[in-house]
Amino acid sequence: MDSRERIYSLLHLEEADRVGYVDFFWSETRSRWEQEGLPKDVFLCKYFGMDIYIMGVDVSPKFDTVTLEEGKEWVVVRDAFGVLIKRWRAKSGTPFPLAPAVRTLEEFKEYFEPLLDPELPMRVSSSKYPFKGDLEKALKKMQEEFFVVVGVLGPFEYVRHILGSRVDNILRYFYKDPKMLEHIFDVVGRFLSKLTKAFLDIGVDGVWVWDDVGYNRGPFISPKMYKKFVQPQHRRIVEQFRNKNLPAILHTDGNVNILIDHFIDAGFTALQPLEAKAGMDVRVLKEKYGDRLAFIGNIDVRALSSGPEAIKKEVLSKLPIAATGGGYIGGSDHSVPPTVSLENYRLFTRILKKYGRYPLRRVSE
Amino acid sequence: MKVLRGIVRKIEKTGESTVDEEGTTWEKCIFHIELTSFSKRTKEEMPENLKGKIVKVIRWCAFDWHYRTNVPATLTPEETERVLKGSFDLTV
Repeated sequence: MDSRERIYSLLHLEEADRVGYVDFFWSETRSRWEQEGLPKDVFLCKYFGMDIYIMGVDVSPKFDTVTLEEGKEWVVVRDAFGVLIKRWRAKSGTPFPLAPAVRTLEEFKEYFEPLLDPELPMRVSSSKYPFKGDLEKALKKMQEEFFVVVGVLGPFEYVRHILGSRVDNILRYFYKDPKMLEHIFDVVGRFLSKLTKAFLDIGVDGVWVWDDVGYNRGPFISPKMYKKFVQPQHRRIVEQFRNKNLPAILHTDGNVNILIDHFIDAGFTALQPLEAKAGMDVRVLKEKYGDRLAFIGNIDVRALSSGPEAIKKEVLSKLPIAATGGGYIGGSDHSVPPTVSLENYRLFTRILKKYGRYPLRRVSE
Repeated sequence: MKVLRGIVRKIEKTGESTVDEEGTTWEKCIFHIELTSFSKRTKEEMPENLKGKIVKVIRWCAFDWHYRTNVPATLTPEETERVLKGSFDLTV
């Protein structure tokens, strides 16, 4: 069974030959691992035998990224969204926002909205493949080895970012100017859905929406606010994939337990990464939503940082429940930090792929 | 392509086993699966006459979690086709 077939089956809540596998890594983790023997410049998806490849789509209004100030360890840039941010020069970490791209509805309508025209041919591109023809060729090639999804920034993250990136900024607008937010969410949602449709038309296998709507204590917004502002945009993006029976994966950090019914209602078929440290537990979720939703991740990176015993215990305490009946793709509960050694990580993938095998239909499988 | 789903109601061990290249022992079993629906890839209802029917299939098990009963299980597309044609004992 190849990766495409495996993931398609698992995300449709069917058993496959084994559970799937996908993960993400900090840049510092890669540096550490190169000192521990990882070949330089290796393609990690291939090296570790992942099943999913995410083809990112550039959803910014494509402003020129300009460096305005440079320190020893940090730089101040105006990014492709027009947001002024301070970020580390050579290490991972959340950038510090300094000024928003948009402050008022008038500003949005005048300077931002005209740039969100999904009909422009240049819009259907990713940072790696700026031309549609190259993109199509790359997609076909990647599909020989992976289940390829289009990865798109979700509406909540998008709007939060252009309003200055800090969560408290967007939360203030929900109170201060909900009409403005309604308009921006509507425009952004329509734009994102049309862009992802273009990728659907060239044959991607599904959609992956990056949209952090929670932190470790719960969602940033109430279920009521989610339903009013964000869910309609999620639904717009997702339903065109669901109409073709293709999966739709939502990535959101944090403890989002109280929003899960609404994610399912929006049309999502899988949830990732299920942050263990925020209280997400795939065993509980499987019991409650296993007939409606597939799960990706949830392997606690604190266990991966510990050692062989902790890794085995963590994986074997979750995998048998999560994998039952299909619907589980293994991976860390967010992304792998440099506290995890290459040896520990290799052990994790070995355990996952060995114990994640389903009962065989034939001995020769 | 259609795939039937069901619930594992009973597992019979046949006593036959084999060891794979990694040294894992796989034990031949007969799974009794009570049909419930088509999987989500099939956008149609399972025929009414199949609801609750028990299908017997061969599965090779190696790990503790493989032997759990009252959990969901999936038939292969080939097994599904045979069931739709009226066979319920797929061990022969």
